[in-house]
Amino acid sequence: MQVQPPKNALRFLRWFCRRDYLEEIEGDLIEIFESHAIDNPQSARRKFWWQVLLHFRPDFIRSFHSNSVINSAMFFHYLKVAWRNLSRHRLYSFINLSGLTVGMTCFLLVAFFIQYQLSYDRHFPDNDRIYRVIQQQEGNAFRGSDLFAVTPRPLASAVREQIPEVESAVRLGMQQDLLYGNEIFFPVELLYTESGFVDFFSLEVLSGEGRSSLKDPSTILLSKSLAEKHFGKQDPIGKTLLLNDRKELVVRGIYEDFPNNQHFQAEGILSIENLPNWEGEQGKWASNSYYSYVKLKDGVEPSRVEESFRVFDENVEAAYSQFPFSARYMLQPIASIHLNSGVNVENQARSDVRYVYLMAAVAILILLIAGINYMNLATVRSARRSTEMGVRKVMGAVRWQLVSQVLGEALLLTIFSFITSVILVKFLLPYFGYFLDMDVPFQIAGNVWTFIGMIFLAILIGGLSGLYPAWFISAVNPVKAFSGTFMGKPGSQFSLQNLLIVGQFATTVVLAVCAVVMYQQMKYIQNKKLGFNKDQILYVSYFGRELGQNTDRIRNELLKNSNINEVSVSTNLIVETYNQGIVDSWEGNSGERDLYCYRYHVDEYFLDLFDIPLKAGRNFSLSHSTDSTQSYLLNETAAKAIGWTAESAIGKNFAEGKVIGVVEDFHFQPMDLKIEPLYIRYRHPENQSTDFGYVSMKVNTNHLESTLPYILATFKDEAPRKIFEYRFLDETFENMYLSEKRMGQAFSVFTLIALFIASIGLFGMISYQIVQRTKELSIRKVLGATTIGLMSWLSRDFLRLISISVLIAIPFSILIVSRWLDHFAYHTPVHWWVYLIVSVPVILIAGLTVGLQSFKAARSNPANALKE
Amino acid sequence: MNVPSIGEFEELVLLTVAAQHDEAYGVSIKSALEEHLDKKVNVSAIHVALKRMKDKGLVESRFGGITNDRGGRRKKFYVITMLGKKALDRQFELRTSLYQAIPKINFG
Repeated sequence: MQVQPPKNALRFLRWFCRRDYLEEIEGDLIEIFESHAIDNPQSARRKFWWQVLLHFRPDFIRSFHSNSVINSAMFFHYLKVAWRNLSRHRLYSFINLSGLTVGMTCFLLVAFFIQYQLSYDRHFPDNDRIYRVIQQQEGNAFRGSDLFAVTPRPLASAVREQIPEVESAVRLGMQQDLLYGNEIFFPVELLYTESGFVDFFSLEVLSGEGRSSLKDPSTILLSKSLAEKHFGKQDPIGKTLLLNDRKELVVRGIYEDFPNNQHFQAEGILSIENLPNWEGEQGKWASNSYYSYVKLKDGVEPSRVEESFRVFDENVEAAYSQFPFSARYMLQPIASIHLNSGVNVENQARSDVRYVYLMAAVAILILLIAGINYMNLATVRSARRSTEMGVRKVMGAVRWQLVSQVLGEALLLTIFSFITSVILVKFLLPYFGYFLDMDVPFQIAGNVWTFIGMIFLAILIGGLSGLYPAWFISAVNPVKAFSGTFMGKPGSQFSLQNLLIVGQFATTVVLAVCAVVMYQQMKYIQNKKLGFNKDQILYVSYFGRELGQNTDRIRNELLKNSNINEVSVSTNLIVETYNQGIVDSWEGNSGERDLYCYRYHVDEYFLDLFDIPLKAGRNFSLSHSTDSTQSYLLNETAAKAIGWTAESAIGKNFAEGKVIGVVEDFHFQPMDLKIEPLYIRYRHPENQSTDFGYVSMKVNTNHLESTLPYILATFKDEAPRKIFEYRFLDETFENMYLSEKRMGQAFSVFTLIALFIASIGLFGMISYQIVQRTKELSIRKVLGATTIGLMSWLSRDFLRLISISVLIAIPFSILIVSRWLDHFAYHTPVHWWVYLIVSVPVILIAGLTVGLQSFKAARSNPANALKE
Repeated sequence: MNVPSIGEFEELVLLTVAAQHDEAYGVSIKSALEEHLDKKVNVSAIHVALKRMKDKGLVESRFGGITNDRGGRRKKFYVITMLGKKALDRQFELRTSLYQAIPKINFG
């Protein structure tokens, strides 16, 4: 046999070469090949390849549009057929498209949310080199974490001097202050920092001077919006403001407002020397009141710098000599700050990365359910088109043409619903943001990568969900297609589809169980006995020495109003305390053991006002002269931790005084934390500064419209140039769980949507099956089958599938739910009936979907169906 | 009518086409050129030259009959057109006139 030229080379040549040149070139090449092959077949093949490659040049490459007449004709034909198919089966097209659109809309909404969450602090140039220094105080667990965001004053300067890998370092102090203009004054978030801040964070100074202002303690930079609030349209530069009604500050510059997705916010920036404790904390390694940021040099590993922090060990050890723990400094990438809620003393509430994961999981599941829907429906529908496909095959269509037709249709539909979703998202995003209480921007044009990613995703979904139907239908045997035996009996061949239906419903049930348990946990938190009364209580926070000294007068003034029943002044708010200390001496212990104790400083009315019962002993009383400085109340947990009972604790020496009473445990921290030891002392300047605190009032809520102005007026009389706000304690309490609550709500909504999509999918499936089996059904009816009998015959298969999904879903949901609940120290038990109340509606909705359709089919006149 | 200009390699191919009147096709041109030039010639280069000259109207082509050689592919035969002949003539004149301008000295 003659040697043949390499096949692939020929194929390649035929692929790229112009049709009108092909025969000539091919012929010449083969002729040359043949003459070479006589001597050496191996090198002839190589030379042939080489020759083919030499021909791969613009002169010979065909224009890939040149024969597009046929292609475009076919393309329009496909479009037409697709359109006809869609409009002939309007209902199914609608089901299919709406499911996909709803799924994609949810997904996009969540994608925007997540993108926004991840975008925090990424706008800083060099954000990959900027780290915040945090410290770990091993053993000093505070509110469930031993990490602290604040660092001592000397740290940043020491880093600048002693660690060469660090390019620059800057300190920030955050504080809320009052800023007084001529007439008006506002409470503002102020940022106290050094002049390096401007370059470090690339502060955008709009007018005036940034760097020099931060060196001069008598000047301030204002954010654009605060400047407008104070000075309107006037030029603010050079104007004077009063900080806390005392210190004069000259406005030296205006900077662009910080974007919302930045982890610290400030309406004004001024020199760090203005901080009240700045001077006194010089060189003090335990003065943890500053946020330190460092910018590493290019290519420096953060772990190396963390290692270098060891050079400060000596200073730190010395500063912590009286404490049972020490501090170790670590670096936290600036972009990770927002999603890390495990660090104490943050200047703002942080988001929780778990919610990001949770939402992402839900979004992907919904998208999956919608994709499966599309796939199932398209596959069943393709049964209807088996004749069309058969004809195409007979006419000479090859498989890839059929595949690309069906795939193309799927792509077209997904792109259509993708565009619809993008439009929907544009309108829904503000509501979604409102729902989650954050301003999620719609940045489709601004962020090219997001956009490309989303389009890619749409194509992926279309491709994936179209792939199976395409593969399935293109395998059609024309003979079978024409004789109508292509599909066979449902339930037997469609095992993949059954599997997918089970998957869809199982997912939905898992989501639903999670949603219900989340709801129950919220209810549990709200209804759990807190150990104190939070209803009908108002509080006003105050700040200022004069106010702190005159609380008695304020109290008397307030009590004059008959709608105010009780007033108590305390340094902490009852629902949340940030005040913790270490006690190492009590009767029977002098320094061997340490007790980490949260601290309250209250007056003698506190227990009454909040209805906190005493387990043993007595409350503070003015008749005992020692109470104000030497008496302690413990909570039960503290007594137990020491090894006392409530009764035996009374009269024992504790810290600097004696225990006079033990109160029943109450929840002074959020529910995700256990109740820990607590002591309560009398509110007295010797125990702790009384310059700030809360005035809590028990009020009669029937006459709030007169009581509220009275309360504000009372405070206003005392300090006319201050701002007071009242808050309701139960509201504050609920706000503590706001993010949990919002996530729970979002979760419920998404669950309903998932159920909706899964149900319409089921609806589409059963309708098709019924259409497929109309004749069979009619014959059965003619032969005497009852409606009920027919209905159960039709829906049996589906209901079995749904039941299987519920059974599969339950163990999964148990796993997920218990893991979620574990992060609450106090959580609701998961009752067995939760699964029931979730499964029953799911089965019911599925049953209703199936039942209605089969009922309709069973009631129809068999003659009509048989006549055809 | 403007006579299009041709490059050196094109000229060689065109000369061969003219010489092999009505029997010139890719491989025959290649072997003729290789024989005359005494070096390897790439058939792809010949194809490029032929296509370009055809676009310029210097040659015309026709398909031959089907044979058992060449895997059953037809040959494409090229003939020179009037324009092609003119181009060759002009090229020849140009060279001759330039050649004759060379002074008669000894280039020893």
